[in-house]
Amino acid sequence: MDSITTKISVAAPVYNEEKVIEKVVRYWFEVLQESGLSHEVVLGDGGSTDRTLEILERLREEFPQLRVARVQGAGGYGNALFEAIYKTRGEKVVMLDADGQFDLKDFLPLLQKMEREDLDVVSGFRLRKNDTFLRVYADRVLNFIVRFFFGLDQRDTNCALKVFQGEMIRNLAIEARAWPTPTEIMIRLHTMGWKIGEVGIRHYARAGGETKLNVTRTSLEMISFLVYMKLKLFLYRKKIINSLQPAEFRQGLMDEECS
Amino acid sequence: MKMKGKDILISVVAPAYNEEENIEVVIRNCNAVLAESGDAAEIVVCDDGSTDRTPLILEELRKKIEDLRVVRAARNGGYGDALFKAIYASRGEYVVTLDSDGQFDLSDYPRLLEECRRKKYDVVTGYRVTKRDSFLRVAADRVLNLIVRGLFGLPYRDTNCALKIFKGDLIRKVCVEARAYPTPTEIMIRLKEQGACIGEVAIQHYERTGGKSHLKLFHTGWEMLLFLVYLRYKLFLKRARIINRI
Repeated sequence: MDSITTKISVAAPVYNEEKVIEKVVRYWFEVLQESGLSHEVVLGDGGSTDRTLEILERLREEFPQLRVARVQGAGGYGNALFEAIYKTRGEKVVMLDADGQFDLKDFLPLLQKMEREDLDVVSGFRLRKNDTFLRVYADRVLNFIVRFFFGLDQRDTNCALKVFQGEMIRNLAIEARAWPTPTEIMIRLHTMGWKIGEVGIRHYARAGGETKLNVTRTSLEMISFLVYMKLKLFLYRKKIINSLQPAEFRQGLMDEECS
Repeated sequence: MKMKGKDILISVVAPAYNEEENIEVVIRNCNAVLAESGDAAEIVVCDDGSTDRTPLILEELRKKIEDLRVVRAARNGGYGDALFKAIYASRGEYVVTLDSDGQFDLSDYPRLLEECRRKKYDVVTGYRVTKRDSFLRVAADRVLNLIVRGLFGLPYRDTNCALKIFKGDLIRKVCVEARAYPTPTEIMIRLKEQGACIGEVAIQHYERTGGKSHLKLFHTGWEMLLFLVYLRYKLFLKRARIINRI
């Protein structure tokens, strides 16, 4: 599909999702076709070792608007997600997980809010979480820390369903390899002054496949990462470092006239 | 004779910020040393948004010295940014970093180059044998080197010495974050992490030939410490596979 005419790009990371991926992809195209908007689906594979890629290859014959991007080197949720996001061409980018915890249908209210209020990003917040008490509680604590550290007043920064202005999100560089990514995105966008909105959405139990998350480990990773972001922001405001961008991202920005 | 990029053996790079009192002498010295060595060389200076006569002096010098190139930062970005603007614009097989305040003598560079080639090092850093600095500053540098050794396991005598030689293709790929004073140390930490081979050679150190130091000791010491903690934490996150790279 031509880049100018694609309205919606759905971007999602996948990793060993052989049990659910076919069902999920079929359902997404059903929803997108129903919406009447021009669309594409871009999946970022974080190095699956099961039949996921084989299944996607087969589905690509049926759905020409399906594309698969593969992470070079170390995988991880964040890398796989952005591998997909950088390959999107749509005016709006919807990010989502491929494990069935969110219903793609819910992107419509997010999109409406974005267009109505002229926002740059609209994040979902999960209304009733089909998760263990521990996980719900961990997310509460996370949102509290994010509010306290970064002044970002959002109910559910780590929610995986979000809608972005395509050009803007394709120019964002991130640093987290894995789980902190959705939160990192929100913190970066907030510090860059993007206009942020949120809409309540439903949340479902995983459609199948094992969760890859261990709550203790991911919480520790998340807290370590938030401390890092806070420290970085502090050094930036003290003018000890010049940019919040990852170091390697800045080389291209440094080209100057030379006589 | 104007040289093509690939023929250049040595690029001498230096940032300059409001150095009207030093810059001409330093560049003329550089040029004399390079001419004497017979090495095919270029000098790349980044004017870091100076507000004094530095840009005018550089412009005049450029007309007289063929192998001088000037990069201009639109606004003051700090020592680290300016240094790397000059590095990215350099073309030599080897890159020698220098300050433009006359504290180092470029005539030490052939020994660095020789060490670099003979022992196949990627980087050779100078270390100041006798520092022509106040007692306090010398002590502060000692403490800094101890901290760098403790945090990053870098066993060098003088990581923050500005006179260093690098393999050009290696240093042109490095990206730094520090805005100002911590840059030479940051470079060493990043290169060590990449597995570069690093050597060191004793060099002379002189008093500033003129101009004022832009450094306030306690302030820069504090900034340095904060930056080193940041970089060490980043290294931890990278090793714990929480972020992709430092």
